Amino acid sequence: MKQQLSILLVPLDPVHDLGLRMINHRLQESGHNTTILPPDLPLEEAVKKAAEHSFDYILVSRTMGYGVVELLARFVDLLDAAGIRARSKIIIGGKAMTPELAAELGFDKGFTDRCTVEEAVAYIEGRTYEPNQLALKREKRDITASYSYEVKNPELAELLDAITDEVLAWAEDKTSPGIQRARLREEMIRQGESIASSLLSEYLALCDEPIVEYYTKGRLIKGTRTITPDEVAALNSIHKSANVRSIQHLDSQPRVIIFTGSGCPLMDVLHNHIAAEWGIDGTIFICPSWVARLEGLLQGLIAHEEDGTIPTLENIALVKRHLRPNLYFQVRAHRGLNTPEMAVYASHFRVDFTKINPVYGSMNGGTDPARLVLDAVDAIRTVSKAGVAFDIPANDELSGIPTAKNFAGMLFTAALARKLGARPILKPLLCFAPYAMIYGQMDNNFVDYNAAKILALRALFDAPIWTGEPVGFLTHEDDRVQSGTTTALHSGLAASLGVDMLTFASTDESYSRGPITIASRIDTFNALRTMFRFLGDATFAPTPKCREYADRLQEDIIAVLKGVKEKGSMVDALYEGHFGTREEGANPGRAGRHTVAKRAS
Amino acid sequence: MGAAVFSRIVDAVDLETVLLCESEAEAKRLAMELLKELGFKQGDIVALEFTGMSARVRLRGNVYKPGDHYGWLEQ
Repeated sequence: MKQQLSILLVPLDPVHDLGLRMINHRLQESGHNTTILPPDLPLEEAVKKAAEHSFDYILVSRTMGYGVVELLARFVDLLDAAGIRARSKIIIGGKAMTPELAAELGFDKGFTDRCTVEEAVAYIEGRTYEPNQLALKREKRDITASYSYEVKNPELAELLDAITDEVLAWAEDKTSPGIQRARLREEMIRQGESIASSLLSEYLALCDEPIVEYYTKGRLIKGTRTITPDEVAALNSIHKSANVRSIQHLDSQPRVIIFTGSGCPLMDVLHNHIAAEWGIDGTIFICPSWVARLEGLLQGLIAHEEDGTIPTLENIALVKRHLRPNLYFQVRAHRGLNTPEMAVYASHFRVDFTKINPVYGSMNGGTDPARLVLDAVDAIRTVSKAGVAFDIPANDELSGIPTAKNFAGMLFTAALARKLGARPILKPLLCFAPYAMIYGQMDNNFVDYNAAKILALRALFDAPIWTGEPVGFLTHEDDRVQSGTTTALHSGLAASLGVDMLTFASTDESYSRGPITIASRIDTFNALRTMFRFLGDATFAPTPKCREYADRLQEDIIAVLKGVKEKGSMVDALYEGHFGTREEGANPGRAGRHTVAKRAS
Repeated sequence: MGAAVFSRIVDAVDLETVLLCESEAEAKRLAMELLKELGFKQGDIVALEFTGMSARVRLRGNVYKPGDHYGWLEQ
């Protein structure tokens, strides 16, 4: 049974006694006998009250900094002279206090203003304080588990069924260099080496020249260097804590994910450690854009001085090994010509998520549509077998493609995934959509159109939603307060809409001339934490326009897919602008064109 | 600041201030001069907003960029 304690609470401030009143309330709830004095009593009077009874603890708070040392020293002297220190433990807390100063002045314990009510009460009751229960108890959960993946609109269900059947039949007898490398890579991993010598020549025959030269001549790609074993070993000796703050105020609020891809896995590891302390729920391993355009993947521990960390088995393993086990980890298969092989990597590492969307990947001047659709079918099969969920980004919206067209592409990929037994996650953007900039849907506010996207998707398909990527795309300015604010507002909107997860940027989002710093990441951790605390279970209230936009989006998505079905070929539909015309900002990719071949029987 | 302190910096030092100036170009020149005077060999202006008589600036002195040999690994 818990011991009942007698406690005196003394606010030595003119007005600031809120902290002590909160502690007092909590102590009373726990059954202790407490006496709280009014604020700003003369020291002598406070000491007189302290002497009237044998208190187990005397809790003193002091917020004002001016003259604090002299005042508190005198208070301790008076307690000493009255013989109170011999029988009571004296604790001090407040904005003006540090543990060191408290000890120097003769207090038994000192708390800063960051001390929580629970922390103070735990100390008094002699319990071990367990901070941030919400964050500590948070474990990775399967965000896809509670969804049925039912296509709610019968017409949409029929269209998606027909289009995905057509794609699977088309892909049946075809292969590509990416798929062939993926099979070799699987075999290499099975043999226990990242590049088994007996398979290397076969692998390199399917690679572009810079990749071949790396393996055969040791020629590094410009801007890269190898990481030494000493550097890897040194990572282990950096002091790390298991501390964690919670960004969310409520467990029901979305999980929050950051990008890390500084170019160097060592730097990524350090950023991830620090970000974990600040309460992120996971991280995405970001690769350089050229990885999508070169056939073949590098090997070894490699640092890159430009944006994006090179996705070698060794780099991914290093980052994963140092990531706290309760954090989500995403490795994106969505890497153009290397999509099937990256899906093998994602499966090998049993990451929580990967990313695949052949429509987005082939509509923005990236990979050839035929090649990427074929490779995506293979990649989805791979991750489905491994049980790795994947998200479907709709970032083609950023080039001005109508939202309905990129949502039609996202839903096609989701339906294809379901047919292949995978667990897709819809990833619409919460952003200042260029299409809406042109046609005015966001002239009044940023809430209605973004909320309409979520409502439209929910009305059509029962699937998890992870908004990205990052939230607030195209709303960030150079100023860090503006940048953090817009990230927080879009995150608040995402929470308000009840999405499962969100990806957010640092306050360096609009800065493109250098790497993201950890300080800029922390800016947004605090911005989100503040927004989630502000919002709780409350929600944003869209105007009636939101419903209008959502209804229109649903009609337009179905119209796009009707056109694709009538075309009779998903791949041809991609080339011919069903998912975005050149005038709308879509440009079918060219990388890997004419590399789809008939598979040898 | 000694090398020992610099080796504890994860990546960069940001400096934020307001500079009195007559143009954005002058603000940029002053900002880069400031970084140089403070001893940063690599630096950049992350944000600068000139409003007529002054400019709000955020400067970045890079200590370690990705791919560098980091002091915090050599403790």
